[in-house]
Amino acid sequence: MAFLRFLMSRMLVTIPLLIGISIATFLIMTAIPGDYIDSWIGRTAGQTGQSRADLLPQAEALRVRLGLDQPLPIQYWVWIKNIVFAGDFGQSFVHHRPVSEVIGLRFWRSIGIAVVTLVFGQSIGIFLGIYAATNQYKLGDTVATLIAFVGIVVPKFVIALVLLYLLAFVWHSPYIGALYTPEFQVQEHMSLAKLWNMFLHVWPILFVSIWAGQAYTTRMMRGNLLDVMNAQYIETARAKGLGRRSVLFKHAVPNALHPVVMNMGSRFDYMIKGEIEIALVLGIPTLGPLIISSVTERDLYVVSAVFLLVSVLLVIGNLLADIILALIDPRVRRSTMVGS
Amino acid sequence: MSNTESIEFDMNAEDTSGPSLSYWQLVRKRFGRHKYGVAGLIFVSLILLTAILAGLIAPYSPSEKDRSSIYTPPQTIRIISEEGGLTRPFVLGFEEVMDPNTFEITFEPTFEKKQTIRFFVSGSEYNFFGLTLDKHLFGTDEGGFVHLLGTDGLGRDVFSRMVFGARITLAMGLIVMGAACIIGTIIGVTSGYLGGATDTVIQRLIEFVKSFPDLPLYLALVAIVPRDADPMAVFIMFAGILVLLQWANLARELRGKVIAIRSVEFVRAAVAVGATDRRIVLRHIVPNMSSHIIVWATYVLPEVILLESFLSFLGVGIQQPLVSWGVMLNSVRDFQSLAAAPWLLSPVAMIILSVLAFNALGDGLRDAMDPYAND
Amino acid sequence: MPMTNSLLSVEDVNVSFRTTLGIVEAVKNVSFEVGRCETLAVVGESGSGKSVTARAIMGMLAPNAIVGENSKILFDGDDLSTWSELELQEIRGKRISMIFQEPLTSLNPIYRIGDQIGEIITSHESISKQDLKARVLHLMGEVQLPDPEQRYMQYPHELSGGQRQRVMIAMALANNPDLLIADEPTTALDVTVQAEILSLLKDLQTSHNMAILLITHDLGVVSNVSDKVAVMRRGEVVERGSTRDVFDNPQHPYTRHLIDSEPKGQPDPIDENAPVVVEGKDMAVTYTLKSGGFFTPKLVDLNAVDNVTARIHEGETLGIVGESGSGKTTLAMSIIRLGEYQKGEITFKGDRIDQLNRKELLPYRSRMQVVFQDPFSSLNPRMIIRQILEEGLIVNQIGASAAERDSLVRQALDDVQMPHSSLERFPHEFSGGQRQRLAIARAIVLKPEFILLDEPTSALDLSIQSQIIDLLRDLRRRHGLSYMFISHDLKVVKALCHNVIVMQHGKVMEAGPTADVLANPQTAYTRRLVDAAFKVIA
Repeated sequence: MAFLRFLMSRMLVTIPLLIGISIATFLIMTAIPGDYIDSWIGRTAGQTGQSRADLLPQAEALRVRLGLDQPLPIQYWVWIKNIVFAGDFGQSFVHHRPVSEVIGLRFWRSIGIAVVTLVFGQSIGIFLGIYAATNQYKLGDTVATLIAFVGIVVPKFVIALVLLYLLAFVWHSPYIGALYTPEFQVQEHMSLAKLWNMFLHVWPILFVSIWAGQAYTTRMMRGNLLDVMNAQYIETARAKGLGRRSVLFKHAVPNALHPVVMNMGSRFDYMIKGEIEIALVLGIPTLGPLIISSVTERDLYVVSAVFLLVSVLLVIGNLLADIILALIDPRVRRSTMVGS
Repeated sequence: MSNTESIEFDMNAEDTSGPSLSYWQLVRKRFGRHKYGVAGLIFVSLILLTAILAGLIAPYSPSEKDRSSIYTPPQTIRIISEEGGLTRPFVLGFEEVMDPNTFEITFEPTFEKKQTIRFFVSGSEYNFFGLTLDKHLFGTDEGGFVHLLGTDGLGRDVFSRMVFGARITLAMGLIVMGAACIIGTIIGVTSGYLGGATDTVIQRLIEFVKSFPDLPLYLALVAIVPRDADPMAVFIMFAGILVLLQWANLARELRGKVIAIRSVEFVRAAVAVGATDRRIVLRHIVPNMSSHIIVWATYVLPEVILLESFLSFLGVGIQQPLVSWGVMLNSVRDFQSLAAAPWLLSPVAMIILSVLAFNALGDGLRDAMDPYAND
Repeated sequence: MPMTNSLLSVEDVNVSFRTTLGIVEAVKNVSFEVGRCETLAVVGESGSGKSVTARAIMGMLAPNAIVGENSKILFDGDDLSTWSELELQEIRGKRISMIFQEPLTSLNPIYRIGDQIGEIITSHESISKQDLKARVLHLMGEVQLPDPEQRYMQYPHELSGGQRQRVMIAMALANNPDLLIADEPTTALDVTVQAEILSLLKDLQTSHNMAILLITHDLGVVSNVSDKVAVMRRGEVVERGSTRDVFDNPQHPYTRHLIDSEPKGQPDPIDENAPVVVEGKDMAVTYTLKSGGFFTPKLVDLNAVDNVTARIHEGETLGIVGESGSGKTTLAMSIIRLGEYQKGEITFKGDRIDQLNRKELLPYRSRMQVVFQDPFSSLNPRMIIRQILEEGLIVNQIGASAAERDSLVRQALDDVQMPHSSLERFPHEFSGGQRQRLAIARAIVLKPEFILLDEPTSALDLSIQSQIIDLLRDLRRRHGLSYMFISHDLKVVKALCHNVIVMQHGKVMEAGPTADVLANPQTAYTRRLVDAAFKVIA
């Protein structure tokens, strides 16, 4: 079917991109001075008091065992082969567990937060944008624009910091720094209570993320709607005798929505980054803190896998946005060849 | 109905009178009408001025330690003396007081340690464009200290650190913005003007750079920088890394604009008179893109400030003893210091204000730079 | 209120706008009447206030508009200027309908045609789905849209300009309005399509017993279609009356000036044996376009120019005529080496220039120049006029010093009758007509032998048009220039061009001396063009 063909052609473009990113990631990680072995030496020397020289033979043996002595291209090839054919992302040096386990839950949590943020952020943004545009020059517009402005301008980690301060010292909230309270941590299955508990821990992230997320969308929607309201077909709609509300929601908003939808792909990437940023401040165990720790420890495969996964997410986000746009915009979907 | 006076059908009936306004003069006029933009401009100038005159404005150097005041709160400037009359401005030092019930130690201002504020005092030396000066805008004379924003865990004056921090933060921002602008413009214009294979290749490159997960990359790259490296070297590397990913956006936008301008009639007219590519690019295309570049630059600067602040806050950006606003926030990373000394958060205000100011400036510029749009 | 004969009576209407520069008066004391089943044309150039007046009738002015206290808009006895928005919504689309100038942007791009036409019906009455569809299809048939069933499901971008305007008309008719306001309904359409649409409107007026208020700047349209006319200038009505009276006996100087501005005259005779200046032989330009949808891309070859030969002798003005998509501009741009082409031999004064690269072409550039259609984008907004005019001199190293260049530039300004003070000014300070003069000055400062003029007057008001035409004639005489004149307006071609080539879909339909082709068109297409330009509709 035509849709599949389109998908195929997009894949053709995307895959080299992903390959490029994976190579770049690998190169960056391995080309920088020092690898895991060095950090291992440093740590072990500190812990056991042995000198660096003493540890060298052990280090070498470790290096061979982990395959870190092979030439780069071979290391890369082995890594990629395992991912594509066996779904095996390698072993984490630091945690002595498969990378997929280490990343595992954190990855889904990050995505979950990002998706929730995206959905709520976009919806709020769209409605605020419409509200601002229809109340232009009035108080409503000023307030909505201000909310958006703050979301854009004030850095997320700052809002997070302030929230943290309030939570810790003003409201004395017990729900900081982890994902669940210990009793729920050990509870294996998900239940409503557990979900609520998670929410109590996680709402600051959602709050900050959503506020930041709606900001750009609000401004864009407001701007688009104001432009669209000047379009000729809006005048036609009014000339038909349609009421203000009809004109707005049936004619103006759908057209103003298009660029916003198109933008959603890159919004997703923004959500992921935002989530990382805030998680680092608030100490929630998602991808963010993992990146920092694994990079500092030179945990090669963990870092590479995380990068690769995040890139894949971003690329998929963009792809989805294109697909959605094609589905809803008849101009893009159908033939455009009739005489002009 | 209308009279039958002779009606002039003079071809120059719409002749304009008065001095001709160049594009930039028009821009300046329009900008003046934009309240927020002007406010932004004023504030930005103030920040820049502060950064340049940091040595003068800050009473102390950023690493000067006052061992008698650790984690002391901000001192208010008072003008009413103990007796109740007006006197020269002064601040009160602190003494430690223990609350008899909770055994909590707090700092209470006491008149025992009164410090008069003097202006243009001599203090620690600082460098100003090669000159070594030691006059500061204000300070105390009896060897005491005045801490308008309190002190941090090492007894360093928060206010001074903030003033000096402006330098590094802004320097980083300006350098990255400038480099990214130049690189982005060159690549974008080349790609758009030459078209064909060059364009396709550059397009792919831009897509690649843009799809790179940038925050993880920054985290990775700067986390890897060895701790004992020279802070200046770290600074330069950091700046370089930021530039690496920022130019792509501008290049992509400019490419689009170049393609649009390339087919506008006045460019074709230039081709028709025989102008060379170089002339067309330099005299026709780039001048018509300058507004876009400038507006982009004013938006990218606050982004860089935010990024630098965040990464330094995490400890992976600017390294001590260099001080930036983000570095100052690094000391509040643990809860204890945050609770003990919330004034350590004051750089946040500076960050927010400067980002606001640059964004407002950018908004004003963007509206002003389209002087051909109908009023 | 006594029932008068007139359906719409506009009395003393005043409209001003609140802008950042103060209060701007757009319409001053305008009065006119339209009777039932009558057509009144409101004619004026840009800035005359005719569009604002039309919108004032429907109550569709911008929020910053102020309507004067004494303004009365009497529609069938009721004063619409006192009505609320809700009351106005009742009659909009039902008793008064409006169609606009740009059919592409007048339709919402994301809804189907059938739905959009249906919407005007459903907003005024409740009706079952089947009845609705039947009515819409019937309307589409009335406006002579081919394949109504198919069109019903299509989107606006899939229709041509003329078809879209028919859709707009169908929408406007749907509820049998008493009055149709048409704001420049044919200006954006091709000439032949214009004639069809006008004739359609006339027929529908009779069959629906409808009054038409027609806003236009085109005198030809006025004389063809309207019973009465009101001439507007700078917000005021300067003359009113029946079309016949006003055209035969214009009272007001402005009206007389407008009527005078119709292109007239003949091109000066030329030497039979003059040598050929420029020739493009067997020119072919093919575009490969992406067609099909997003999911099914296809590549289609489009022959923009299909084996065309054009030749201009010394002192001659050759007209190339065609509608949009005919390839006339593509052809001209290729001949002057400003556009890509796949095949063709181009000679300039005997030298072959089609294979030359950019550097080799340089000596020829100053000898063949171009004037573009849009005066607003043909001058670099960042340069002053002096820089714009000098550029050619500098690039071709004509004029050894700044002083020499200065005198050359001043001469050019004299030729186009623009003051020397223009030199230090920027393009945005001039009107459209003035800018076009400056563009012409830029072309002639290089003392070329040949100038390509691409629809140089299409974007200008009628009275300015005639000035430019006179100027072009004068320059040709004085400097011995040859012109290639591209246009879709046969009236202008008749006044300026010795010979004409008629193009359609990239091919030459007909070619020959202008007088012959216009008097005796050989092909059906040419005949349609000539009729549309010159014939009065019965």
